[in-house]
Amino acid sequence: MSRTALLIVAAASLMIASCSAVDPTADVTVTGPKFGAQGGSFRPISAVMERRCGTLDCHGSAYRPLKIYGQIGLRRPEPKDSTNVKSFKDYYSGGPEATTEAELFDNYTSMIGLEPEILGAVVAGKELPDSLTLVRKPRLREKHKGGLIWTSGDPGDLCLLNWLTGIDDTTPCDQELSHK
Amino acid sequence: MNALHFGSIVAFASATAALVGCGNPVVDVKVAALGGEVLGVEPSEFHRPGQPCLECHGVYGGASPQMSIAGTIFAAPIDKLPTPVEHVNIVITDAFGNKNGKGPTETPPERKTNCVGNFFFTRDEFDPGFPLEAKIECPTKPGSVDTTGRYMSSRISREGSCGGCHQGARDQGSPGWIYCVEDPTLSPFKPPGTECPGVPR
Repeated sequence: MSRTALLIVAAASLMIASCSAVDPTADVTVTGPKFGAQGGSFRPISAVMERRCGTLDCHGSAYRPLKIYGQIGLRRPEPKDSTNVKSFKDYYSGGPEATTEAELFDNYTSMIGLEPEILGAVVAGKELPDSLTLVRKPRLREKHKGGLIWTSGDPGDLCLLNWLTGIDDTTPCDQELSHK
Repeated sequence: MNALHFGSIVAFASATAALVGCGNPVVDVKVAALGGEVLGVEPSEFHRPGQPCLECHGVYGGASPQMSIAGTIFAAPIDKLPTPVEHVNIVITDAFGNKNGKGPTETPPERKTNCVGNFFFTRDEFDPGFPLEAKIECPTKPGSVDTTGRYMSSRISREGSCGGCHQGARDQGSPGWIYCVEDPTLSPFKPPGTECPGVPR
């Protein structure tokens, strides 16, 4: 057998071995940060994400792994008879209908679904928040096409960190939203 | 074949592949979807109102002039391509406080829409730092110096073409065309006449 053929066989064996190491039936339970009744605990955090990240030209796009819905950006696709929407004529990007509970929940799952295992460890206090790409990207500590959104310790950053670490204070979220 | 010759061939092939691979099929499809020019309207600052200008006049498209911010302002939010509004003043403020390409303490130059509602900034005039704040100052009626200001409710994070997001009727994925008057029945603006180079002859 030639050297190349040997290499191919070796590589294929490694791939098969590595695939078989994964248990497809295994479930991992991850405890996320607070959502609250009707999304009440999460709404201030979502509001910051909607304003700073969810514009239509960034994460307000159906094609992004982190997809953010909201009143001033992309609206969650809803049929006209959806009970999730109060007034369908007001339910458009930039329209008067406030971010719905269904949109809040989709934003929540989008945020926790990026790195669920690490996020669970952060919520449990076993990892630092900056181990999450969700925290690093807006700080530009990781490549981010949208650039620097806030630096460590800024109100938007604290808003996100408080939520991730179980601190109920949403004052930093209000401060972030009060910026022009 | 000696090693040097073989290396040259590999290098040439790689360079060729890299050049061929520089195309952006996503933008190519968007540009193709815009269609051809309207018969009777020459390519100029009066063509293609409402379309996303930077698809062609951006870094990738390469059409001259290269623009940084560009768009079209219409009279009212209706489904079909609405009536454009002339003499709307555009004020774009970037992340550094620069307005329309001038520093925060300077008077920003006026940038008004033309008779098909189009406006643009070239990249030489204004190469803004994102995110941007956008304001339009619409004349209260045609020819009036009195204006009504309207602010965009969100920031612009990276898109230089207004038409990249503001396209067509308002729906769950778009705020619709940029407009001056909320109620179409109260709009004082009329469609441009044939003296406007953007109107087909």
